[in-house]
Amino acid sequence: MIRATTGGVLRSYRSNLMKSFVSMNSARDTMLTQRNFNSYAEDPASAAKAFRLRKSRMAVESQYDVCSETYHKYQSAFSCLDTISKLIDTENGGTQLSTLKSTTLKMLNDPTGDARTQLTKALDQMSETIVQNLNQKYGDNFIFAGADGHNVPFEVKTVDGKNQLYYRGVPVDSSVPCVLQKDGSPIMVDAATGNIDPAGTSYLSADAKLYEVPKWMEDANGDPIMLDANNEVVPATDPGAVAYLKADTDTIDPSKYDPTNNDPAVLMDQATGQPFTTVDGKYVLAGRADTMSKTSHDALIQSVRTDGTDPYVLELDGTEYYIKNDEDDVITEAEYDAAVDSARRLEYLMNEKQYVDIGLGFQEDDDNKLIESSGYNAALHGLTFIGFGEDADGDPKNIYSIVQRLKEISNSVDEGESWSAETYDEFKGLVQKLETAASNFKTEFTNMDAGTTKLKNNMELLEDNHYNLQEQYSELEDVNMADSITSFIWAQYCYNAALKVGNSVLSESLMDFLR
Amino acid sequence: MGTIGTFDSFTTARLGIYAAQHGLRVTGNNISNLNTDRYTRQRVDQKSFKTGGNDMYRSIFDNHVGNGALVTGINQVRDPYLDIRYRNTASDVGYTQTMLNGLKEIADTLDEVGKGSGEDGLLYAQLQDLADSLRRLDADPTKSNDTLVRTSAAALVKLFNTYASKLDTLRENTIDDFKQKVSSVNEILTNIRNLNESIRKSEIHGDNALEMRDERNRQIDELSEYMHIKVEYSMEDVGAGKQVEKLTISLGDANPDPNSDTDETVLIDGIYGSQFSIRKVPVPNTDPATNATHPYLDKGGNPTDDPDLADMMDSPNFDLDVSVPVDSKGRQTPNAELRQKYPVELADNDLHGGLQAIRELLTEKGEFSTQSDVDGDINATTKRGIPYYQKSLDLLAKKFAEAYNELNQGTPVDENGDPITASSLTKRLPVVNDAGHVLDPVTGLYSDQGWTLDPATNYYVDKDGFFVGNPDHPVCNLDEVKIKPGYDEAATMAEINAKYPNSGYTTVADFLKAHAVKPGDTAAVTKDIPKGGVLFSNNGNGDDAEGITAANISIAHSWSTGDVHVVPTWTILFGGEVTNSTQGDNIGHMLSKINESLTYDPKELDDPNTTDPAVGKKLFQGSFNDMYSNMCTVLGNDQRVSNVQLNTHYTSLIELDTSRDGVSGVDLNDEAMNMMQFQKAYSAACRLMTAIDEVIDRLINNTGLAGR
Repeated sequence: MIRATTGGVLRSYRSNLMKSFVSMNSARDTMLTQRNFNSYAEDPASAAKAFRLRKSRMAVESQYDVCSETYHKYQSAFSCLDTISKLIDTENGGTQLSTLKSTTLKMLNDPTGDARTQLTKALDQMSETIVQNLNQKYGDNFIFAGADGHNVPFEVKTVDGKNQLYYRGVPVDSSVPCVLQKDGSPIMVDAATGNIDPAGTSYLSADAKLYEVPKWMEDANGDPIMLDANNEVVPATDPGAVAYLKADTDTIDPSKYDPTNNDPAVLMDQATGQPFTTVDGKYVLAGRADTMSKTSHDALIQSVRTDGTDPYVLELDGTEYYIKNDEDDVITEAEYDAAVDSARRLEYLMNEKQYVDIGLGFQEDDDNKLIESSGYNAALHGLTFIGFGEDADGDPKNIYSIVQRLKEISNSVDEGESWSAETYDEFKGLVQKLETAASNFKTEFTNMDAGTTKLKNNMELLEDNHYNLQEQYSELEDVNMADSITSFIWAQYCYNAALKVGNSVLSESLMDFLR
Repeated sequence: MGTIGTFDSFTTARLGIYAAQHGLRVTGNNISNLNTDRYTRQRVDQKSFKTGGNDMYRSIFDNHVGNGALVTGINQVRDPYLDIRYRNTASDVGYTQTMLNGLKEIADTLDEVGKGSGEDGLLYAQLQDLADSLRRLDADPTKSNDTLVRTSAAALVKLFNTYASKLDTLRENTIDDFKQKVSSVNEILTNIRNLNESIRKSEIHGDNALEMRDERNRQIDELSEYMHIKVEYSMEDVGAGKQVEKLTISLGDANPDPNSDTDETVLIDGIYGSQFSIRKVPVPNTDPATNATHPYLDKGGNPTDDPDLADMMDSPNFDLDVSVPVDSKGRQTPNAELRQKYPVELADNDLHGGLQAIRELLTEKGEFSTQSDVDGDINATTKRGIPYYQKSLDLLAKKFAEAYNELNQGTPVDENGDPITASSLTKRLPVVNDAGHVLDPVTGLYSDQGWTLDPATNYYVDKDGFFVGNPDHPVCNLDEVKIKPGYDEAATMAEINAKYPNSGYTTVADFLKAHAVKPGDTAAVTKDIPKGGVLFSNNGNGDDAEGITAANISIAHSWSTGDVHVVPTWTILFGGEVTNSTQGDNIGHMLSKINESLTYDPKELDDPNTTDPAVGKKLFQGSFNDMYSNMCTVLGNDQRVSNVQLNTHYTSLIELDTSRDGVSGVDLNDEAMNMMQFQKAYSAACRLMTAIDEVIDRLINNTGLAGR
């Protein structure tokens, strides 16, 4: 600049003074708001990051609430299960009557059963207590109802005079009925005739009684060899034939037979009067001849299922069987379908999950399916603890059902009478199964306790996250007071200096020296 | 040696006195105007005076001596190059300052830094509040938690509405500001034209009109803040050999398109001046049913194909036209070549300065720009004004509403996850007898406990004992006729008769026989189907979800009245026979949607029938919160850039102004020196006068007395 004019100097001063004032004002704002930035424009990157951190903090707060709620639900569940656990405690078995185990043992060891009625009632009450505990609520929701917290999960209905436990409308003992199968396919029965018929719609229970198909000793023509009333071998067509000679009847080599003394005694052929010779050239020992009377055989044939004309033969593991024709062994299509449907429902319900967001990520995959590890399954199914379905013996696995079954067995024996051996064994077997169910209960109870611990740990983690996030955005947003005060004081100092300069900005000019 | 006039020297002294006195007057004027805005210091133009020609008896030894000093004029000291630089920079300052002010006003609405409870923001935090409500609903899908979600969503849509309203108000205010600025520019152009006329007159009469030039320069400086201009001075022949200065102001070639020549439109041509006006266009007919044949609307709002009958409105692009230059009496410029160019329709980028900045604030859509926008301005996709932020907010609101409306209108699925179709949405129905007694599927007993099943006469109700019709009897559904075990026959008949007044049914059994399905039939399950529906609509009085924007997004009427709820799950277990009252998998979808990375495509806001779609392919990809944060980050960055530019330009402007002051400003030292100089000159001239007087006195009164 060649000339520094009065106006120019003033303009420059004003501009610089304003800059100084703006700087001081900015430093003051920073100090008063205690924030490093008060708009995105001041620091877009930090502002965006701070908002992201705040969003995470808000999410963590919300997740903590949900986690806490779930944790308390689990705590309530723990209390309920603890009560049940004490009821089925096996450790104290036999020492007191306050547990299922001790009560059943007491019954088992009381063969005359004077007190059985009372014990039965005790069993009944304890099983009711189990159901009542599993119908407990946390808040407005039933704890053990899986994903149906608004409805009572367990209901006891009386079917055919027996108490049947239902879980969410499904019988807890539901299982796919075991049916007789051939080559992997169910053997179908015509419900009207009872005949085996591939086009039939009914099934046969796997418990159906089977008779091994008897095998006869045959002649060279393949015809069965029979005996007459004199125990002599006759053709099957002989009207005097009364008994079949079974195939596994003992024979001897003719060389060991002494015809002179007829020793050992062998079956004689009625036609020749000579020892009967089998197709493989053996003699049949008369004293050890294995026979089946024609009458018995005919009765057997009458009692087994046919394919419409002949008795139906089922081959299992290389052995042929007849199937007893018993109405009770028939499972109608409707019954089968209903049982399968119930079992399917139970299976579904037991796998039903209710995921909540407790801060594990809660994210869906590309198919909009929740990534399971990112949510927490908060559903508690009561059946997980007390069991469901039937075991391989067809006995219930559910504690309530086992107890009810025990009760029924107990009730089936009149008071004062002793157990029959069969009843006693059945009762004893069920007691063992109760023990297994109780063990399973303990396992699941422990698992749930582990879940509670996980929730508690997660809550602590969320708390830590909360503090960390607060700290992180605080570092971004909040000013260092020492820095901000220093900056402000410095800005103020500069401004004051600028003001002082202002006093002399219009310095003396030549005018002031003119006289 | 030539002759010397006896009294010539008096003239020399007198001219010296005059010149010094002029100098003192100009110095005094300069000192007086020390604080006058835009005053240009003046300077005396002084020349040595010498009479011309030779006298009759001029000797070859004659030597001419000058006759003193003449003041030939008073001039201003200006540097034209500094003026050019100043005005160029002024247009930069005008542009960036206006842009920055506009962006700051947008930020006043959208920027949530330091706002809200706990400084968590408002809309930003409300999205998380909604997530919180959904989390609670997911954990426990009850009606009260559904209400919580609705309340949170209502607060969110209210924020959308408020922000949209504020941006709309800002745009309206900016339009007013734009019109005011156009008016100010026109006023300046009128002032300059009038000043030109006055200066011209003064010049013709020999007056330099320096003060009017100062005022004109002030007006030109002001104009340069509104637009980039080119100022040229030339001489104009006014006849009789007289020439006066002519000022021409034209636009400053701002358009980067080299083919554009409208960006050099002459605004002031001497005493002729143009005016700006906002281009008017016919009001378009947006009704797709009629706009093909009748593209306009008349003043009554009726479709028309006649542009002359169409109602007119401001161009949506706020294009500007320049009128033909006229003088103060309204006469058009006589320059035919120039005249035929007008009116000039300025292209989108012909201006640069405060006026253009406000235009861009009003029109620029950034990534939402269409092909026609890009055709007009190749950089359109990187310029963001109020419409960009309005559309971004609209897109966010639209995506948000669409996502949740879609999730709440899903398809029921069965326990296997297969969609439930009309044919599969069936279930087996329990049996009732002629008397309406219901078969308990568990006990096998009917409600009267004594009825024998007769397949020929069985009728079916649902598992709750509610009668269910079949597709042939659409009047029957679960909500209409309810017959439960132990039902009240009279009450049921009353219900039936109310529903079918002329049916002639006398017993419930008659009704069942007429309407019931047969054994083995199935019936549609209507009772347990989740009642989904839109959650957000384009107004609070309906459920129309078309065309949702930030301004109109509302809680759908059905949701607000409780007819529609957030659907916790679409899974119907086993034909509805197994309930799942607290299953919240669909809420889980909604919850994860809050943080899901979505793609925001500018084309999503296009009218489906548009022939001019947005050219931007992807605006952003991220969650709802991220999208909003991105809007604010873009805004913050634009503000930052503008702020840096403004500081740079403003500093340059101050420096240039100071430099101009260095040339044209009054300096007290200078003026003191001048004052002293002219004072001394004045004294010297007076002394000269005295000396000459004494010499003449000697010559006249005391010469020729020798020898007396």
